[in-house]
Amino acid sequence: MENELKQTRKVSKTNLKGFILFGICVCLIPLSIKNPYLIGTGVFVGIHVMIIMGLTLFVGSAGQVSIGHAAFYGIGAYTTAILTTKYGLSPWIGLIGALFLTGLIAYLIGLPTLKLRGHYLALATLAFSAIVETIMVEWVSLTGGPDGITNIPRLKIFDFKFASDFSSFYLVWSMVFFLMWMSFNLVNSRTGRALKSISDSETGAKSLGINTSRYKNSIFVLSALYTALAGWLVAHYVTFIAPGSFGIDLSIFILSMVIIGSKGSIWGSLLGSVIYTILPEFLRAYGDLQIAMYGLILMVIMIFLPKGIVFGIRDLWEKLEGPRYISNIFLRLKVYQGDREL
Amino acid sequence: MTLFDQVFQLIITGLTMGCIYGLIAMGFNIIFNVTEIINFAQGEFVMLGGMVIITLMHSFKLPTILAFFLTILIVAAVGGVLERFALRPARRPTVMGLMLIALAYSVFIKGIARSIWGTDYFTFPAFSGNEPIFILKAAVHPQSLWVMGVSLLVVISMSIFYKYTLLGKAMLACSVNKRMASLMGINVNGLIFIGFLLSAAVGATGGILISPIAMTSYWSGPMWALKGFCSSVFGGMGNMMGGIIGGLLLGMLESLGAGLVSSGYKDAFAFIILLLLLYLRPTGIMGEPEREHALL
Repeated sequence: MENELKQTRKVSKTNLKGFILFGICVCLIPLSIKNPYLIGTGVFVGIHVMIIMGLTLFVGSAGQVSIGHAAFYGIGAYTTAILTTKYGLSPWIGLIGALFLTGLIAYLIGLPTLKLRGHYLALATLAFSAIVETIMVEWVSLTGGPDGITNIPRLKIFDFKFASDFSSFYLVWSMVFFLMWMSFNLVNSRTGRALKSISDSETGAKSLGINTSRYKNSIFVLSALYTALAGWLVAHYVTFIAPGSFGIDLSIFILSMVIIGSKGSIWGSLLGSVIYTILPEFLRAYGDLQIAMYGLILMVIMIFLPKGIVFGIRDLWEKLEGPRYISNIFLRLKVYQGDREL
Repeated sequence: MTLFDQVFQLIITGLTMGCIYGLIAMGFNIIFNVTEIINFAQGEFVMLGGMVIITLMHSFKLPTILAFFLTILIVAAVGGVLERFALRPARRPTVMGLMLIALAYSVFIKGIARSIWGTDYFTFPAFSGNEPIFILKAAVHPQSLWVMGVSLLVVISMSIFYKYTLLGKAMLACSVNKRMASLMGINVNGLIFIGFLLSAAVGATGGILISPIAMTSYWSGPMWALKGFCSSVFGGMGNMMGGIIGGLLLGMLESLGAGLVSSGYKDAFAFIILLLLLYLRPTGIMGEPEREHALL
């Protein structure tokens, strides 16, 4: 047990180094690419990372399923859009409103819903998402109906306006870094281990004295908050929103990107977002067959790496002879022991 | 028109859609029982059912009966391809991984359908005209009767299949305990393949029946999958009868919601009732208490 605890601390430290390196690399991207369209795609990668990371915490760490996160994304975006366009408030008050409202709704919905399990939980979250989508389309006086809301102001700190893709890129990614850092700490903390035990066996966790329903509720609210933050950013970056961007198909795709990245891996959520956002851009050359090619590539990835990209590549790495020599050294140094499946 | 007549009319409309939802739910359950995965490509089978029969009847001028059975064969083959070339080669698969492969396959099919049929909506003439039949003052589209009749026929023949044939019994055994079934000499992999063929055929039947009433486009698959998934979970995942009852209920809720509450909010109305019922019965109408980790 003690060794295992040491092991998790070790992992969080190595992650920190990789994390800083990764941060530097990302900061260099906009400087090396001058094309504003590509930088704009980078902004969307960042926004999608937030949603996928939020869902990763809920799906991966706590072992629950949600097909309703697009609803929280939508609630976050619509709250700030309504507050800033209808009432003329500052986007920063919009942020507080978006986070507060989404958190409240997630808490209230979570109370009865998270008692359900497996497919039934999936269905309940999906139903919630469908209800929110209908309200967005039908409550025309508040949400603008199918046309959505336009002319949402851009973000501003004092006199600096985040008008260009370039500045938005740094704003979005600095928030992504903050959330990633928070997620790493959470996963490697006492709470993270409690959540892991829930995902392994809920009954087992309960018998160890873990208040499973409280943990599940809190991680649900937290993941909804991540998603709402992404919604707030997208509303002020794109400056118009419509219900079509917050539908159930988005929920399903976010969930599949969590799995493709590797369920429970924070780095995996990053990869998932890159695949979700950038791959379709590359496939544009195929014209009519773009959607088919996208499906085919996802299929091939999942056939060959069913545990997702991050864990799949790690397993392959461990299978090869050269790396095995290195991992043997680590084994001899007792850096990690026993079951290596984290 | 009195309120009673109006409600009766709405119930007939709801039952028609409900039959289709029930058939899709049945397709979900057939596959779920042998593999424990939710086959997201189920909606694509329904879409293909409609599209293929329209093509066969318009471009190849085949008679309805022949086109009907040929369509079912073609869509069943599409289902077989999913099992043989996408799901079976997966290495050390997890349930969630297999579900994702099915989802990706559905995206693939959608893309292919788009490049074949484009983005237009298609429909074809009803089996026996568009002249409404009046039952208790309610105007019933003749196709509704076809939908209900053929659905009933499918349900009856499926229950005969499960109860009285060796293959059906083997599939039931497989759904109870796969490992035990294989120890008894049942070829589980073969059964999974047959399950996919059957499920695609049932889905295609639904698609053929409904396409004269609801128009079909390459984009309609996910909507059907969603409604079918709701019905089957609502009825209790893995329970055939539960799925059909769930489908009929969902269809009626939608239709009554659209007619009596508001047509825009019909989906929300159906889903709110569904959520409340789910809170009261956490494992669906006819579902058994769920084991831990059925999904992940």
